[in-house]
Amino acid sequence: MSGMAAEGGLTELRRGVLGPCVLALLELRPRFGLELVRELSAADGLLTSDGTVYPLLNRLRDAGLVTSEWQDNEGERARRYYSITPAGQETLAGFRSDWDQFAATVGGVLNHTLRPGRAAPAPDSAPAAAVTASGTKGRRHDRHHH
Amino acid sequence: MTGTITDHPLVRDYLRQLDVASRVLPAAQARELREQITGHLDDELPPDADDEEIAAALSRLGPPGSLAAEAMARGSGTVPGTGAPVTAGILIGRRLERVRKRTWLIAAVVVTLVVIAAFRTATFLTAGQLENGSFNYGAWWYEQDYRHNVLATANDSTQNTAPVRSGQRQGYVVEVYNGTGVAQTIIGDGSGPSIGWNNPGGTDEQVTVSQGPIGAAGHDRYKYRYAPAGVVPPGETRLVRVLWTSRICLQKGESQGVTRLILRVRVGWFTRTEVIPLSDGFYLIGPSKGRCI
Repeated sequence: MSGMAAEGGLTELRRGVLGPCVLALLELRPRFGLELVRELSAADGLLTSDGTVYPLLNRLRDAGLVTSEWQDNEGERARRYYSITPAGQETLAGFRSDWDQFAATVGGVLNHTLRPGRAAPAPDSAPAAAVTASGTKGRRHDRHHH
Repeated sequence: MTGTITDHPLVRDYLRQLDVASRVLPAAQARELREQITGHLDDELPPDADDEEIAAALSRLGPPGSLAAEAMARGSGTVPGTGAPVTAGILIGRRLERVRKRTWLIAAVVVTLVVIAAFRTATFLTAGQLENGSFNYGAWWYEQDYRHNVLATANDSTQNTAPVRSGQRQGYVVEVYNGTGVAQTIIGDGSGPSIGWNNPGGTDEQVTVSQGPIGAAGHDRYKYRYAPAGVVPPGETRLVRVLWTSRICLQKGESQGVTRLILRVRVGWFTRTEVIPLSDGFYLIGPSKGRCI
């Protein structure tokens, strides 16, 4: 039961990261469908089934993150090649930045090296929290005097 | 093995299942997915692949239904930065939304057409017909008939009477008034064997309508251009000319005439035959000379 739940969570995780992984592969050079499938399959556990790559590619193209064009290379059959767009590169850069922070946070929580309540607060909110704490303390002190 | 891998029965069966599962997708999206899967198999499998290799490749692709479901989640959270993964509920909701939009659009078009049709039908049913009022103009068309016309009154009605000229063209012109609120288009002669004719006795009947409003030329019947069809706008008049070759055989003192004008008229989308009583009838009087039937 717990194994099935973990598998379901893993599937959702894969779904979430597959798009950026495809973008990352296309960042290196344009590729056709089977090439992408093979690269992703080589990364163990990233691809649940080969076919899901194609709907994903179509969604990425609809979002303007990749483009596709037919290429007819000599001696080979015509293939549809996918390329990353500038918008795709921008999205990928943003995801990389978020992912590093996210992975570190999740890793910290999972390994008990970082407790959720003490997660490094955002720099802007730290001073405000400190002021509130001291103010509360002061008011309580005055009330006690009366 | 000859042909491509897509000729293999296992592949054909898989693609057929994909086609069925993709029926929920827009046609273009379903075609694209099929083309991608076919290309994938063409690339992955050699033409002489055996059943085992093909079955393994198809298994790796995943069930056709799953591919169609993935494709349906277009715009889902799997695209970076767009939120959560698509759930079955959202998928169904999107589908219903598309269906609802399409249904509403079709319904709106149908309702609009029905309203227009109802309005047009009501206009047709309520519109009165063209008329030749008591003071409206009417005259023989040819000058010799015009000159020999005798106005006679009988039974409270006036008759234009001219000698019959057997074998020759004769005719009259009358003013037709549209007292209704909608334009009416005269599209031709409405007379015939079952309803009667617009001439007292002749052949080759021809009905034409003056073009343009009755202007400075007034009732000068020769100043207008005549055509087989013409619009009579609301509140306006036109001249209708009826010509024929007289064939009637009349003895001296005998006469025969017409007291109504029968026209085919289009009102809105519909066409009808209007029988317009003439304030002054047109009668030919004998004796007939030359050829008569």
